[in-house]
Amino acid sequence: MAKKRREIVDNLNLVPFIDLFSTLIIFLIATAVWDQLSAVPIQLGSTEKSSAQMSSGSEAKRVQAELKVTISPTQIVLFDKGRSRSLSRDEAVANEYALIAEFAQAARQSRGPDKKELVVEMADKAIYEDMIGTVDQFLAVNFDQLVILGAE
Amino acid sequence: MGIIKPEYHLKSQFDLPSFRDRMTGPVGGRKLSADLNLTSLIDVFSVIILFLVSTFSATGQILLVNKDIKLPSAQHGYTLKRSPIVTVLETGIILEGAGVGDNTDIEDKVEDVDWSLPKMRAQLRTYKEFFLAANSGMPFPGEVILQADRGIEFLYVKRAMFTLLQEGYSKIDLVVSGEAVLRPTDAAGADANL
Repeated sequence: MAKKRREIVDNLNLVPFIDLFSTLIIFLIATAVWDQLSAVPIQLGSTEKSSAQMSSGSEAKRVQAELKVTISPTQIVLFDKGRSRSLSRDEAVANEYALIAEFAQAARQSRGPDKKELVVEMADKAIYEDMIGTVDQFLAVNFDQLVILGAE
Repeated sequence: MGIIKPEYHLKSQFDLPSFRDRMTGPVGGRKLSADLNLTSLIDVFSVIILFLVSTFSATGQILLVNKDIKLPSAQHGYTLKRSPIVTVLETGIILEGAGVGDNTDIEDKVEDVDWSLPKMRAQLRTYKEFFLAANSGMPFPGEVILQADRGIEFLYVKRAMFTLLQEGYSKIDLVVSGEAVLRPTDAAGADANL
């Protein structure tokens, strides 16, 4: 009697594979983070002194820093070791703070990598975005110890 | 009337048995089972998984951005760390989802006693006390996350900062939109672990 030949199943069973993929996709979509958020860290210094700086413009003006940025509603002024550069806000925003990036680059080259302090003095009416845009350019060259002061 | 055995209503050539015979019969019979081609489906799944895995963040969503806020953007921001979240709006100040201050007519409050935010101070003090009770011996880090609209005047942010400082929260992470780079301190720790 001839032996019955068994049929060879050559198809790979893809059903468990698709099940696994579906589960993975559902999990990854559920846990996905769509907003790319980051932080610009700032340090406000000691409590008493900085409270005074935050509330009083005259106190803030007394602070002398080697590298300092003063931001007003119309102007951004950069100071570095006696050298200064003044930019109108429109000019700074129009080229996406590239001029500030140049200044920060020069400031970094003129001092060692250990110097990381930057003082930012903000006028009450200054736009918050200008502060972030300016600080971002200094962060790019590792000035990441930022002190924010309030000014009148 | 007796029970009638149900029969096919369609003509015989459309009956299922005749159809099956025609498909599987010895002459000109075709295979009845039709395989669905799954290759393209698996291709699509693979691409979706690769995309989702590449955008996967192990830290998850640390904060939800307030719907009234359009965050400023920055390219060199650091990764966010979980801390109390302060939201500064032109209408008020929100701490961890609860309103703790009113910013309307802020100009009138600048030189007033209202400049300080008593509710916010009380809440911040509670967080600080809780931290110190839960982590005895550890120094208070004084970290806080602050989010504000890109177009807001600094005066509003300054008022929140003033109150934060009064309670010893001196390390502030300003939330910005943009891809984060590893903090220098964390990067140094990661290198040390290698």
